[in-house]
Amino acid sequence: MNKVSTDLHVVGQRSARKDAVPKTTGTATYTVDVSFPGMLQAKVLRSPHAHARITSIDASAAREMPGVHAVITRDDLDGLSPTYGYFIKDQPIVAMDKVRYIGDAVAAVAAETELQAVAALERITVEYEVLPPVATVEDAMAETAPELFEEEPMGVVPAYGQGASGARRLGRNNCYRFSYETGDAGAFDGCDHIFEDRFVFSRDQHFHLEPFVTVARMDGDVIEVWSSTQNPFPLRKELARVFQYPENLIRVRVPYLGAGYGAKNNCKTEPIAILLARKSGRPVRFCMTMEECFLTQSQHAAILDVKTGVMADGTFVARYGRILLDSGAYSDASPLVAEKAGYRLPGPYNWQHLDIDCDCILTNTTPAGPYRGFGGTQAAWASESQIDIIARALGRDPFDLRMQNVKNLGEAYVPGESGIDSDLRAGLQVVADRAGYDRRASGEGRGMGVSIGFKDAGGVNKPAQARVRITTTGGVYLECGSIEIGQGIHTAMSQVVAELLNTSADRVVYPELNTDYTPFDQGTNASSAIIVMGQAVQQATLEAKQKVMDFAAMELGCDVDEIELDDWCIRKGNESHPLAPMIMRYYGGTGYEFSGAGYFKPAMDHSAPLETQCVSWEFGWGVAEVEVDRETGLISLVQLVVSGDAGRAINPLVCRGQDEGSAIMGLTGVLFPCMVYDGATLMNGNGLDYRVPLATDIPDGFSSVLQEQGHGPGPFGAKSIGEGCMLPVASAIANAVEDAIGVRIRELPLTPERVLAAIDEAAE
Amino acid sequence: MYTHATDAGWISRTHRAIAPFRLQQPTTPSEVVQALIESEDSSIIAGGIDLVRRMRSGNSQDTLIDLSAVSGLREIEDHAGFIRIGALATHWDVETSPLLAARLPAFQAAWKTIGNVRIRMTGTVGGNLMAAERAYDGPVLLGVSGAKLVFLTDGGEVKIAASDGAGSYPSRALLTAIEIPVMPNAQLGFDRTLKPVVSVAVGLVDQDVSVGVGCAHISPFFWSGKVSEVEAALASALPEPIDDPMGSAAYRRRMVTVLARRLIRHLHEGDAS
Amino acid sequence: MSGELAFVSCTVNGVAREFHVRAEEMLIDVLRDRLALTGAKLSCDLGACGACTVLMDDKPVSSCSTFAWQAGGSEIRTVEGLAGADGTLDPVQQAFVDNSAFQCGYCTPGMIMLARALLDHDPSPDRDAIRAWMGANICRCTGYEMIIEAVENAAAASQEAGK
Repeated sequence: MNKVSTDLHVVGQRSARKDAVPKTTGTATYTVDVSFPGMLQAKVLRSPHAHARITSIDASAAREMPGVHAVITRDDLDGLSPTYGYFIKDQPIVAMDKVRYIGDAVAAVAAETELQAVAALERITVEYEVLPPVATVEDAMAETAPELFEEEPMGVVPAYGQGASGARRLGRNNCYRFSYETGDAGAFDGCDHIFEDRFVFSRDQHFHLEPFVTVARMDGDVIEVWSSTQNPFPLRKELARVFQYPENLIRVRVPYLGAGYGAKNNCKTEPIAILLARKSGRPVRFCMTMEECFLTQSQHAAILDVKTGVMADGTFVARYGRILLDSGAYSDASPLVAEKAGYRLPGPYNWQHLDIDCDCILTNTTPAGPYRGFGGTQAAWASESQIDIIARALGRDPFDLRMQNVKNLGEAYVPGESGIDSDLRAGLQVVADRAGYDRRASGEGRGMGVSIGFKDAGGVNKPAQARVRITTTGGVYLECGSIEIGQGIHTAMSQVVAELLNTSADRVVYPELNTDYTPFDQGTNASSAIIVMGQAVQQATLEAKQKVMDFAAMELGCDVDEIELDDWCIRKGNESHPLAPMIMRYYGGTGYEFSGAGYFKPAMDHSAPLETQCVSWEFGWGVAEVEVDRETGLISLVQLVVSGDAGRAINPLVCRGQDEGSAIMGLTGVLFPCMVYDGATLMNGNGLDYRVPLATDIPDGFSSVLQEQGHGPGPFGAKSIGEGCMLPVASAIANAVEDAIGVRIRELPLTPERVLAAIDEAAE
Repeated sequence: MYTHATDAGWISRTHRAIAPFRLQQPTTPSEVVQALIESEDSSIIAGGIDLVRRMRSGNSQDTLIDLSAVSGLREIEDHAGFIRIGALATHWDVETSPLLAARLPAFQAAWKTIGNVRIRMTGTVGGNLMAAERAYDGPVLLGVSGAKLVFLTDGGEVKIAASDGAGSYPSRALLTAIEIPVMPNAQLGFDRTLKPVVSVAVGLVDQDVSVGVGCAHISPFFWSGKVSEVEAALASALPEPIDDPMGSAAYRRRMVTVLARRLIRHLHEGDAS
Repeated sequence: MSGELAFVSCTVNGVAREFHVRAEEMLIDVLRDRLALTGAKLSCDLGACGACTVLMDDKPVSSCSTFAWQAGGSEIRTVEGLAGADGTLDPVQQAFVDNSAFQCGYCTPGMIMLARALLDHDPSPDRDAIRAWMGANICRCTGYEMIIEAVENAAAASQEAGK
């Protein structure tokens, strides 16, 4: 359904969110609020070494400590398949042969109080044979670097389509490479100018305010897991494999999430909590501290070498890219991030030839995994910075150079791919107009920069199911696995269902996610909810509605075309027939439920590089205006204007929140230090020292513009909102700095010291 | 790292693992000093912000001496030639004091930039000083203002210059007040825009200047002298700043001079800092 | 290894309460575990993020870093006590609802109490004053603008209603 209808009364409304009252009255339940009688507290002993072999571990004294009900070390993993991961199952529940980063889990205890658990952990003795660590990508790739994994862990390389490929273990600590190639390498020969630049992207941490947390308990034979997770169904499958236990005897329950931004995918606190619960026979709560979260998951730092060939008239011709992702100590989602960092490096521009490799390099640091933007943030940093470099070298305005090369609406992204579903020029004009780009002050320490953030949206080959049930009196259940992580999806989906059923959104109930009852979904990630699950929800709603209409037509003895559904009444001409009495007459006084099922998955297509065409494309247009203090290097943000195309905004307030939230989150990696490592030791991994944007960091000139261009694949033409506006922020600011002081900086973050060093170097 | 280390590894503790302690609640400053002397292992708690953070890291003490019942330590009073701020005055008390607005407006304005409203309503001036945290602005501002810190010890009252630093604070003593001189031509400037790497405060009376440097060393650095000598003095007298991944020693050193020069120029030209 | 007990009496959301607490017990745990007031959330556990913010004698405090005995003799207000007995939301709560000034909601009880304290202290703050005050608490989801607008609107609505 690709048209923007104007005749809508629920979709498009700025209605109050479904979770508004619970969240503003303190009654919303999160996993941190879940409690059971007799529940034990879990604590973990973490490695003090970045890289070491465990020569011995003795927890016998810990097991005897007061209040202790279970202890786990590598000696307690019998009968399990004790490592987990995405493509590569390399991360152990607790360390087995080695520890691979400071903070790696070595042992765990469940006790009645935290003090007792800590006292027990203190009794565990561990002997380490310290090994040389590799703290950076360069160190890890060196000829003499120690391997984090001497033996190849079990894992797969998925199938790819036209132009794409993957490979494992191509070099020291290189756990995965994604490659994409199209066109002819000879295209570089015909170019008038070749630009080669190295860009460095810093490592941010998600800083979700609710930590990783799980409550696990045995409910008869069922392993019940309450968890702050974004992908309960894949989690269930992974836990079934790890614990060698039937999938349908593992029940995952997910209340509200205190955010995730990608971190809360796959195993985090669950395996330890479950194992302790099984061993103790009691419910176990494993809730990490914020410091432990910094030692569990982070974003990928990256080195991006980009070589681009262009013609004298500014036409883009060819791009070669080599990206190195700092994957941390375990592969986690790095191969998937590599796919996307590589795939998104071209940006939404026309190319004749692309040749991109993206490698995942393991280092003895916090494992890097999914983080909002998912490789697109890193890719946009490099690509959108280099476009400005090219523009200035050619004497062109960076805005114009983008307008010249950007893809048209409907043009395939690359051969075999789906078409771009936003008018990119229109979007760039929107932010340029709002920011006053044409009249900008340029030079003398003040300047503006533009950027187009870009990613494919909807995940890869993502299946989604939904079910809609309607009660006798018109109450609606929307059963779907999209999790409310703050993005407003419960509200948006309810508005879609209500619109389709011609009723009000407050008649739609969204039952708690429970893998025993909720239909399958691959996960709340990849900006996929409204465009992938949304299509399943739409289909389920329409199927339920069809059953209602068929029933009503039968009861009224007429054609389905003669009647309409209106707030649980059937309208036939001037007549109004309430449905409840009709239903009870036929089904009896005890009533009935109508239900419909929906499903969506993009079709397999080997001519598409990722084996299915991308469902949609997400853009974030951005303009930044800065002032640079040339004596200190301090950047002051004067304006930041961002815009996303929601296709058709189901709820404009929700869309605005996503655009603005993602943009400000994107500031972390640019104006603030990010995760600061001293070798393999994280220096600022806590809530006090880690600098996230505060309300006082937002300039008066910050604003967002919501576009509704109407071309999306979701219900009513909806498109994803949620990651796009993070993507242009870093490059827009760096481009603005160049406009302001004529200095190009290719490494993040843009700390004052780094800016000053670049100013000094330019002056020489 | 707010984790607790054993030989075998690190354990990240929450506030629930704070070690038990006995609570004493004296009502006069002398009782506080007596409690300090009598207890082998005690800490003072005022607002508690820094103390609780340290206890979460694993710091423990037998006895906590709570100051909330001690009277007479919160007043902000006008004296001949100086303002006396009780050590238990909160940052909010300082920020909203009409006396300070009238007599030390630049000091009040600079003090207002400390922390955030939650910190300022609970945290005390004394607590900020006694925490001796590298990143804290209080000691730097007081040092360049020529302030004196008043301690009560078993042997009576002891006053030390704020610029002497935490190393000179007497032990088993209670900080009771801070005395800040009020001088007719005194000006104060403060630049914290480069925190947490470096901050600079400048106290100016005509051609006499006091420069305070925060964040760049283990404890604040102070230098006093003539305006004309500032840059040369900072070049030679400034100890080597901390060099770490948050900021290099060279950058810190360079910024000290840049910020000091700017602050002095602004004050001389009458610009508000 | 038991600690000393302290006896604390205070009011919580207008109701007189008495507790025996260990000296090292924190206010957040008394509220969440004994009174089932789970709105205040634990996050940084350092007094930095403000997700645990409650009002103690009208001051916004980090309940994760406030010992329960420090609340003796105080009036504690939490987000659960803002709405009227009939469920009518406080103007700050209503503004957060109407302006969609939240996303994951984990910081929201603390933000609402912080905003409540601001409007109690200054019923008509300008935008700069709102921004400076609300800068005390961290939100990772919203980017803050919609929160600032909600506080502005709450102030305006309260002025209009003569509250």
